[in-house]
Amino acid sequence: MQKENIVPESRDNAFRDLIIKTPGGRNIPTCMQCGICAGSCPVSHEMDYTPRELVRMIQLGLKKEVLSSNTIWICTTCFSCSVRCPRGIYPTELMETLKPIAMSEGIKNRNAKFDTVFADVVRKTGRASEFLLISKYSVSEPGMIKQAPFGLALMAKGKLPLSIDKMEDARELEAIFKKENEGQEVEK
Amino acid sequence: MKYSYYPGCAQHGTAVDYRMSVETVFRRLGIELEEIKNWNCCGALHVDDMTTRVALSARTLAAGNGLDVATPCNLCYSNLMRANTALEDTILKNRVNGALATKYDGGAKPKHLLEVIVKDMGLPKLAEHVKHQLKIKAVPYYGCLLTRPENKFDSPENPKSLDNLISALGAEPVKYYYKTKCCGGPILITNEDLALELAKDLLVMAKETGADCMVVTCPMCHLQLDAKQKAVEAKFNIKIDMPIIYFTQLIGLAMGIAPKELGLNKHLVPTDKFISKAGR
Repeated sequence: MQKENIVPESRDNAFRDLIIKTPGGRNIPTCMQCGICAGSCPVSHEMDYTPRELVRMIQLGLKKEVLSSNTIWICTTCFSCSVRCPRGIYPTELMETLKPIAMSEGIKNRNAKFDTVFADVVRKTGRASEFLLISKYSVSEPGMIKQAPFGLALMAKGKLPLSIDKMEDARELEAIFKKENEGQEVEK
Repeated sequence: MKYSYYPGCAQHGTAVDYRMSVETVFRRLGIELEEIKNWNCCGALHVDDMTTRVALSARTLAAGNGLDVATPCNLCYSNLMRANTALEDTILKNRVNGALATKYDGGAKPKHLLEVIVKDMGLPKLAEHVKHQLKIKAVPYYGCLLTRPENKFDSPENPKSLDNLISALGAEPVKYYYKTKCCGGPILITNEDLALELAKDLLVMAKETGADCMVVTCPMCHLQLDAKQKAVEAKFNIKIDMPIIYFTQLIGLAMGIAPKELGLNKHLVPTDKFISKAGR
């Protein structure tokens, strides 16, 4: 993709400071751009910006570019970068930190949608039944109809039960999912 | 040996074969897995809010009743381990406990079932249960989250526990350079093309080793490599035909347990040829 030049006006220091206060962002100021994260990443070739670039962009406070990049959503959470970073930066946790912030800034994509559906199913039933997840996600993703033969193949083996797996009592999860509890990692 | 058991959601769905093999094999090994009552999902990799995610795992750990919490799933295992580390922060811990009915004080020890067998029981003890040596070659595939990010039970770069387990069953673990490379499972629904590309790399490399099967420890890896194998073959116009076997199924076969009891007829990639080669 075409990358724009960085001008002073595109820098948002408040954003940088916010991220640096999170557990996933704590060590970002120490990054020396060695690139072992990008080299270890199994999917960096599909990212707008590699993890290395993203860390640098946070140092520079490039809020808009960071939050609208596909990098944070393509990350498979494999933690290869995190166990190798010589500065202890944990780029994987950084991606996890950025996801809810991007969503609260109105970023919409398939991954954000899936995560929203997933959290909603867990909040209501306490479990992640594959069939319920996929059905709910497919409502707004008509392309998922292509997966129907795959679903049927799983069903034929008894691997995709239509009955919804639930906790006997999921009420206890209400407090866990309460909005007031969310986003606290950026407060510290 | 007794553990609190946290099966995780996949055991009630796509990993029914894993569940069957775990139940049979652990019963016969005399390892008691007491299922946690009213357990909840760990949030996998899709509950993005950190406090919520940690609280989901803290609730599970609190329900462990002082026993080690054993789980068959790499995702659950990783979330439980990460929650313990995150809760060293007292501010977060207080906040999480504020949302829990049963407070979690820390101290519960999460264990993957592979660790239970290899470390707690020990391979010499396991070997006593082996009825016949499996004369096959197997790819040891660990995936990501068994050893990352916590790096407690085995090396995140070159783990050996599954290799050693395969040897203890009389089989030969082949050299496999992708043993901890990501299978793409977490992005299967949302970025299928990319997910299949990752699975293809693993499968092609596994095929090249000349192995008879690939051994996995995670229901997500199994879904990706077994259930999606046909999609990989179609997309890249290649033939793989590689049986993907849960490590508990492999143990079961060596113990002389009937393949059907281990759920081996429930895979999408046929396992018959592999089973007969393994001497059943």
